[in-house]
Amino acid sequence: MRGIVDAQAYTSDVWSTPIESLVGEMARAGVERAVLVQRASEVDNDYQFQAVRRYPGRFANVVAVSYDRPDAPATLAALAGRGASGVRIPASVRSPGSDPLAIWKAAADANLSISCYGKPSDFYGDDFAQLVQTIPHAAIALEHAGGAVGGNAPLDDLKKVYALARFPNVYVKIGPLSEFDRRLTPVVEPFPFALPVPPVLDLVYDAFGAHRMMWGSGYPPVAGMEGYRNSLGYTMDQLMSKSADDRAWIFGRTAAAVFPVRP
Amino acid sequence: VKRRSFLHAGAAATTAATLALGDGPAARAQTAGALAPWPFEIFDVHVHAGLVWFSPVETLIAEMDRAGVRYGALTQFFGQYDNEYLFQIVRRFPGRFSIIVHLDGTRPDAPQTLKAYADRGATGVRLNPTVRSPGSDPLAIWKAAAQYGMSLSVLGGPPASLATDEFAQLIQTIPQTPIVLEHQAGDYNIGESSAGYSSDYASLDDVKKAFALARFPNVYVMIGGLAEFTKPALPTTRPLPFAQPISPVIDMAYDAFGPSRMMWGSDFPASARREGYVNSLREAMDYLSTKPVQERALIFGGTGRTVFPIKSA
Repeated sequence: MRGIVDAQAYTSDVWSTPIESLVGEMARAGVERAVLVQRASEVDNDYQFQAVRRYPGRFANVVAVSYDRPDAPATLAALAGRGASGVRIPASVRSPGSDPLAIWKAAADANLSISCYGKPSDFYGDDFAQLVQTIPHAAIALEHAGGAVGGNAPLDDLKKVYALARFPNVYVKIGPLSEFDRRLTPVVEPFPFALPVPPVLDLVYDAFGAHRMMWGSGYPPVAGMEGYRNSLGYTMDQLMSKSADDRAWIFGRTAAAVFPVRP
Repeated sequence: VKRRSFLHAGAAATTAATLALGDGPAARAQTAGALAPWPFEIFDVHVHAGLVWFSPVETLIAEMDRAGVRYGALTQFFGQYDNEYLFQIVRRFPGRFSIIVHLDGTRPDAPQTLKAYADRGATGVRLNPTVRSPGSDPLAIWKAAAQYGMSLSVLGGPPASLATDEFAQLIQTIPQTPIVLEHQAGDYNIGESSAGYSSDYASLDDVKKAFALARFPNVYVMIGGLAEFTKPALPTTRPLPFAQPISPVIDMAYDAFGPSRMMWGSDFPASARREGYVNSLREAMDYLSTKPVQERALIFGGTGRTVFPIKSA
């Protein structure tokens, strides 16, 4: 399959792996482009901008700022001016000062898409639904299938999250199977996960459709799990019953549209 | 226990590449990508590779090459009893890796299986310290390793799980066999998940108790990158991304075991959930930069290569 875009990858100079590691993994797995999502504890975006410059046309840049600072909206606007495609904001973040949604509105004003992570309960409450409606033209992508992490699939909670599909600006990132299923011990080959695989991917597909669904590797944390190549392969295998067109969206077009690679 | 400012020591011992390039973002990008040649040969005693889990060997070799690491011990991951891929790797890259197999030590035929692996060139076996054989001799699998000239790579639970009389007796049963306590004897944080950080760090008292096993001359310790036992700073700091003070576990290992019984391992690709391959090596190397070069050559190469020698497959 051509045109594969990885919607969720990380890189750093002092933590995890440098950009060369990701480039190598993408080449070996046949992935053309990736969305660099800033690490959760990082607010220095310089290395990510360098990586984007060093590999022109390969990476979209999703930055982060210190959300507790009053000048966060201005900082974000400046990063957008430098070519960021998106911003990563935890679902529970509210700005200091008079407008708790200031950072979210700043993202929308700067034409940045929002990559958003949190627990299912951060997403399914009325509070987040109101936030989503406040910035109806900003794409908001829920990471990790809306909070499926650690090999657990809280299906009832996730179903509540997926009710957010009623808002057209909400998207979902699906990641490696290890986010919501567990590896069997001893290892079983060729498919090492417990069966049946929890139906997270089908639930997302049924609620959002392929045009609002995007695969992300979760590299490099996934390197300590099923690895980059299997993150793509196992997830794609789970979606082989979908049409080729749907898979083209899930594994590339949606991410390319929401988080465009900018010069 | 010695405590010191690692930030100071690290800054004094920054790699030659950083010195040449200054300390700006460009230098960071350069050094993150590839390290300068080391003054001695490096042997990484703890790397993993797999086809259905972790990453294929090509990924590992790319990281090793960037870090300037030529040699390593392929350590089978827990739960994977099929070691064929590791033997394939050794055939494809002869002279570069030794093999530490893993098997179900509770099976009656485990000693015979282990002998077959030894005959094919495996130099070590990885066991949980509580594994016991069925039948008349509960230590049969451990004695088999000794009989076939294999070293043991051991990881159980946290350090307290090793500081037991039972394990001390086991160690004395096979006094000629090297037993390597992986991951600072179990002071080991698995690292960052997509949800955040795992937070299990051992108490230094427990680490000290486990390191007291150094009284047995056949016990060794493996150290990894600092992130295995030190909390990251939040938000990320530079040049070192750790909360201060750095846990003194490496100093404790050095004091207890000395460089001839101490060996560094990257734990790649699992360490990609923490500081990653290159940083895992560079940070440990910087931390030990005040030690004589001959000692560092042991910790980062000589000890591991002696305990887990590379054999032809």
